[in-house]
Amino acid sequence: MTNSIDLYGDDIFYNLFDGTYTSEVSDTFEDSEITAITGMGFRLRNAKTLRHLELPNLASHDWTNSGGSLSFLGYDLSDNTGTYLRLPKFNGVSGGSNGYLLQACGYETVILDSVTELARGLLQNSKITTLILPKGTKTGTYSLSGCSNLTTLVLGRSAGICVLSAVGNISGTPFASGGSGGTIYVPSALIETYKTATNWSTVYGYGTVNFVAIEGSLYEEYKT
Amino acid sequence: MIKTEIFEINGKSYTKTWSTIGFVCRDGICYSEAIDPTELGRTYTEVIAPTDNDDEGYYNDSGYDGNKTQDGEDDNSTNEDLTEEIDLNTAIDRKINELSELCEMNIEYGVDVLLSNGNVQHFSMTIQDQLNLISLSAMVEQGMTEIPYHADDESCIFYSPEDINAIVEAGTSLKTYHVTYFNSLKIYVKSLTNIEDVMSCYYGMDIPEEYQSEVYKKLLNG
Repeated sequence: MTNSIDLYGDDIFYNLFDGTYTSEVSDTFEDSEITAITGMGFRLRNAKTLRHLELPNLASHDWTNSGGSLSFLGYDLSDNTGTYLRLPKFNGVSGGSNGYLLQACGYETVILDSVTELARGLLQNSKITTLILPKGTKTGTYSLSGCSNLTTLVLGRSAGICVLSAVGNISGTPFASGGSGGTIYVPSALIETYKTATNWSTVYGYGTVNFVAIEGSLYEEYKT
Repeated sequence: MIKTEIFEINGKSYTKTWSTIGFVCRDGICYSEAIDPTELGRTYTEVIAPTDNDDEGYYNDSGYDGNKTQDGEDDNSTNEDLTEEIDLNTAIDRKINELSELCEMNIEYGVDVLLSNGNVQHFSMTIQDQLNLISLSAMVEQGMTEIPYHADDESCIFYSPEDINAIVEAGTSLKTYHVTYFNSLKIYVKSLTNIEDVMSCYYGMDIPEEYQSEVYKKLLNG
């Protein structure tokens, strides 16, 4: 039976704007029963000091009513070294269903094993340094914009490149024009394709991206 | 309408291609905006964005593979009536509508209130709930000592005047906060001069201080 957290039930943290909620935010929150976020019931929004979140079975998120449900996760941690968020089953696809879910994430690494399409604003303004997308096919509008620490992107899909639908999706990152640069790990067979693909070719031309073979790297296990 | 612009970065020429009404597509892949080295000479066709879903339709989200119109034909048409959909003023209006909805939702969601018996109950704050609170306040003023009301998904019980006051105060504070926050945010959004900045705004973002109202500043500072 699906444990769907909805608008009027199962509220876990309601501390929007550090306002009115009564529960204490612990260092770690785990719930393997949660498979969906709907409505606005699940609001870890502004759980700025939560160090670890474990939602192994979360599969979907209805952005229509709960955009940004997990935003600002860990954003105020004084040291985010080693922090990561892994959502192995989450696969909000385009059309808004994962829009803004993780914006302003304060963790160091985010691993979205099942996500194919990053929707609008998914990780906007996050502090992440590494994003791992084993099955990513497309990056959505402003999905990574403002991620000023993002220097490692892992795109593990072998069946084709992960489309960059607009250069603006990575505005404000080290990959943007004038940025300090970063590394994108992709299957070796696709490196040349990335270098000439629409929008990626432009980023490559900026000199801010180094496409590196995922094979033999630390991230090889994420090749799909 | 498809538009193009050529620009240089580090001495290299790039061509930017975009649609005023939707996406530009090539080889079965659609982009909200395509930038290529000019030397590649790439050309694109245009696809109208769906209009019945603001999220996809307006924001030209990635992954829209609508290569066909409703008639199933490739669409390269120019629709001047729709070109306004992505101008700055329209972007601002839509963003404000989005933020307004989220403001209302946050109010309607309601509050948790710590009652005198130590229990926490949740009270939604829809318009009807807000009207109920006015009636409850009147009952307190009339001197009633047992006032019937109910928390969300709970049976109706008698509340003390102190608890009713706590509920009313929490609801009022919630509404005041969100309305005040939204109004400052709205002024900030209206001040923006490019679509990218408008689109990057979201409910809950920090508002630059110069756009914060005095009331909002006071709420922020407790």
